[in-house]
Amino acid sequence: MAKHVRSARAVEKTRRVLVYVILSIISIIWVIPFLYLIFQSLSANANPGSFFPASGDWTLKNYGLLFSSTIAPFFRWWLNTFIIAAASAVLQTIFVLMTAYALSRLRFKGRQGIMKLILLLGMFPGFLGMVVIYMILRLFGLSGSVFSLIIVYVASSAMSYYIAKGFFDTIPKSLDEAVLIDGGNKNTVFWRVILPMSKPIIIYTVLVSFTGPWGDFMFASLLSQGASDMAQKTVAVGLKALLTTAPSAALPNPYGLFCAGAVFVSIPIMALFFWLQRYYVEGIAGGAVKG
Amino acid sequence: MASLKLEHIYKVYPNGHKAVSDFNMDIKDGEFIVFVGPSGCGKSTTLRMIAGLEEISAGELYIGDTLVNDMEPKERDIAMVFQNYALYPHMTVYENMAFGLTLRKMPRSEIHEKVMWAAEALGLKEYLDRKPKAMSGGQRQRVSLGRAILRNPKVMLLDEPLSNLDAKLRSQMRSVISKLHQSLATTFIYVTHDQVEAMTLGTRVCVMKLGKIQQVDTPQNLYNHPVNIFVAGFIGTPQMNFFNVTLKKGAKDVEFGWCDCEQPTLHAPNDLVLKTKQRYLNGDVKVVLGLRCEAISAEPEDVAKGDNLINVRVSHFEELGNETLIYGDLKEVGGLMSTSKTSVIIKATSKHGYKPGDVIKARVDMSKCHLFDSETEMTIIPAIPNEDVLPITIENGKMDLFGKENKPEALPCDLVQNGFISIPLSAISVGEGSVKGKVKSVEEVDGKHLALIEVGDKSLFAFVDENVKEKAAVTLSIDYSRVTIMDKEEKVIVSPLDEHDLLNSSFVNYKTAFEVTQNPDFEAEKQARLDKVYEEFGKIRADLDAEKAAAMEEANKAQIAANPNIAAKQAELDKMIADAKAELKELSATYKKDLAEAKQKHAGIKKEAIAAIEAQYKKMLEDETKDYKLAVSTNKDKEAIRARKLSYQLFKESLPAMRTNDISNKENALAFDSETEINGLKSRYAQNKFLLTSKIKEGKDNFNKENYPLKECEKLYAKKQAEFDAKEKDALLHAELMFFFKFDDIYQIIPNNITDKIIQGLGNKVFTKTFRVEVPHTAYVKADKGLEFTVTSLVNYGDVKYYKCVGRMYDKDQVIYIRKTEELSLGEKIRVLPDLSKCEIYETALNIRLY
Repeated sequence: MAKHVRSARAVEKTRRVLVYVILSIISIIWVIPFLYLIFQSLSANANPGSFFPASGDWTLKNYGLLFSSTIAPFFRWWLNTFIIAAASAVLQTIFVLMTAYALSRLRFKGRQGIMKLILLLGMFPGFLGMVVIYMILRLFGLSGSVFSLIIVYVASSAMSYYIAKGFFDTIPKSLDEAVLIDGGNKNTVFWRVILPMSKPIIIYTVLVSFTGPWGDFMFASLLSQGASDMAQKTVAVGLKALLTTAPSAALPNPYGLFCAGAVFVSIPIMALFFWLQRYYVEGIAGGAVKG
Repeated sequence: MASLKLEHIYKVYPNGHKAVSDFNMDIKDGEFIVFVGPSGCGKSTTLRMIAGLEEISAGELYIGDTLVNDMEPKERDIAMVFQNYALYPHMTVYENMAFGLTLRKMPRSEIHEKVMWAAEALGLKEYLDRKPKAMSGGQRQRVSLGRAILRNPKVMLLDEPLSNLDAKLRSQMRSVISKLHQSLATTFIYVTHDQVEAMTLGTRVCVMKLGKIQQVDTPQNLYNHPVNIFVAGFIGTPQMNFFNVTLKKGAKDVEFGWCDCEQPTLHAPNDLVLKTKQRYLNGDVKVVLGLRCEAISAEPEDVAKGDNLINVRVSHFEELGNETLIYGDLKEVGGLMSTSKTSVIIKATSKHGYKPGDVIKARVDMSKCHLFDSETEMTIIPAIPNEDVLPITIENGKMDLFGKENKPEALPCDLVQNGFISIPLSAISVGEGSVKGKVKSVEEVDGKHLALIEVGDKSLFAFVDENVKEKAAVTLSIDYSRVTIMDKEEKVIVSPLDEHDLLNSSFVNYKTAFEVTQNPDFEAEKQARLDKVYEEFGKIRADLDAEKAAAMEEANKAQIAANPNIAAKQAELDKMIADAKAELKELSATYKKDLAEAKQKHAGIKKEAIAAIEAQYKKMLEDETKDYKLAVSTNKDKEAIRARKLSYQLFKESLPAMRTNDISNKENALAFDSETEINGLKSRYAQNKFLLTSKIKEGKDNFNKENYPLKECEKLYAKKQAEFDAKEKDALLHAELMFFFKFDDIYQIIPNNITDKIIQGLGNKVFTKTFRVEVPHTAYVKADKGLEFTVTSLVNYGDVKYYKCVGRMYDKDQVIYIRKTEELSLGEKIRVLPDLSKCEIYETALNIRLY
């Protein structure tokens, strides 16, 4: 009997060791590019081939240049992107949640059809519409500014209603009915009962709709390609431009600058995630109905 | 508090499924009505239609005197308790209960008072600052009840409120609900599938099946006089025993023969089947005998009486403590495992020493038996019979019913020997006519007086006024147009004349009708309606103007008087506002401080508690390690050392999980305390803040009222004027709406109340539907632009006569019968229209009654 127990424990132990080894390898592979970026950003001369900068090349200059260079106004790009992403995040979240609520709670003709259509449309990559979107924006005289991106991102936001709808579907309908009887209307239901209960899904939506515009390259490059003004760029487009810039007196190491910028770009996302994650885990739907 | 009226309520889903059909019910103020039935019977749907959560497909729902079909739930002044409580999880108990009143903009102080009252009544006072997740099922349902009662609604709706609770809580909550009903005296409507709840709570119970009402009655009557097999089987545990039997009426008594087993016949007095149709009593027709378990007795002293005994083979017993249920079978051979047509359950005081397999004698109490038709499943001993069936003979133009008399001309039969005539009760009018009879007995059933009347050697039932007493002499008249005559084999020879003529029609609006007919009457009618509104509102407008002028003059005077003091008053107001604001600021500061302190305190407590647990575990590990080392160093036995090592390792491995578990338990326990305290702080702050802000607002309002009366007066009247204008516009719009029934090519204006009902039922689909108008023979009126008919013959039923008229509608012959009130000559052409207020109107596709 004792022997048997021991062998089962041994198997369990081996299994765990194996799992942790695999996980460790995967996480190292994940971290390597990031470490590479950091090291390159600390290098005075471009040396994409090696992992560490040469011994005499260690410098913080790239970070200084990020905020002082007039040829590559990184801070301006960063601010542009931040404004666009923040505005999109707020508007997108509102639209997504309202769409999800409508599709989850209201019964109207064509509801099923609309849901299927949205699913179908979502299967086509967004850039298929790029030309048309550009023309539409030009029609409205909005093609000159990167901030038109807000409209582009928000306009299609309702299409990602799916996860929020799934969440709303789990909130019992009798809560809605209780509000209606208590003297509220659909607005009361949405703003005063459903939303306060939906913190996790709100956080999720905010995060997703912030990171999308934050890292988008396709539409951003489309809208800033014509602009000769370096200030009319987002970080993704600006940094891409740095990669193709030849070293000069003002920009001795564009590659290092690119890497420094890339490191800096990840900061808001991380900050946002750490700020929001405490709400993320806070499940509050308990006790609404029999549980 | 209000009564409810449900008239021809239907719920039809888009796929054509009728969840509720033709639901009619009057609910009196303060009644406790229970809807009960198996799942899918439409009880919840009906309740949800009353609540306004489900649209009513057709029919009318009144709460009090108001038609509420198109009202939002919030306007209906109802409250509802849900099966799954439906509490708002992010709000405390207090906020949950106050939410409805807050939405209705009730002053905070009043809300507080009400919440406290409800909390007191339901024993929730100490939970007010908790959130629902920290409460048990019973407590949550009490919160839900509290939320409902504190609005003091006209009607309380409860949708299976106890289904999610366990048996003990359920009976507790049942008495809570019962007491609430007594103290509130509000109308309660309660839905359940549990017949015990229905019987114990309801003043009246409505049993439903497949969307239709089976029976509405007091629990007592449901139990004692079920109208059909379904109700009989549904109400009462254990279920009623059903057997197939035949009835043979003899001179002294009725003999019950068994169909599915060999048993001695039973006998019951003839009075039992007084209201039963003859055809059940000939000994051939199979009927269903229903016996409750207490109607069969296996007690030795009952069996000793010796009459109506049956033999029961015992299969098993259920002992319930104070009584015993004996399960058995009437067949003396065959298996006992499954229930069959001859299974029987008997209630006994004890086992009386019987054993499974014994064949015992049991006595049937025939006064407690129920009888049902085996096909329609309806009772055949109804409280009110539908018809009287009497023997009749007709020959040579003479009819032998109540003595020999002339046969009504219109009855198309010349020879009937020893046949039967079936007369609906509603076709007998007492106090008219020439047939003389004597009242044998009178009973009151459902508010109607039912008399058994003897005419010669025959007796029949009829409705009489309340002042007709026993042994009174009365006269009868019979409407022979509604009788059925059968020969002695019960084959129908004469069918009754249809009660209605059926006319098909469609629904059109004013524009269409006027375009087609160019009938100036329609235009005039419309103008008359508009004129009436103008006149009515013109009068009110004049009154309002005069009232305003007077009020303005008054206000002007007040303004002049107030003017000199304004500056001083303004300063006073400013000071008050400044004070309140300062107080508000202080309040907010204290609140923030208190909140931070409370949070810190609880964080401290939590940290301490966790530290204590960690220390405890650390010590446990240390002790164990010490113990282990000691054991290893002192012990010499290898096997023992290995065993000790194993247990030590196990202990070490399981320790972290136990610690985490303990910590999270502790954290949860502490979270309740801290949440309660913090919620308390929050709600107190919100309340005080509200008091201050409303003080400021009130101060401003009062200041304006006192010092600028002219402005206030203008504002008031502007509002009144706007309200009046809206009302007038509405009335004009409504007056302009005229609708018509189109009978072939003839148009008839539909009275407003009927239009409302039709549109109520069908919405904008009304123009695409066809309608069946069922016109009683008395409901025709002459009209110049009506349907044209030719009088073809006079149909003579003795006391009543009809003119048979034929016309053309939709390229077919249309026959109508008009009851004779005035002389018409044969062959005459007449133009008539139905009096719609006396007709019944149906939508043909779904067969929904609209009026």
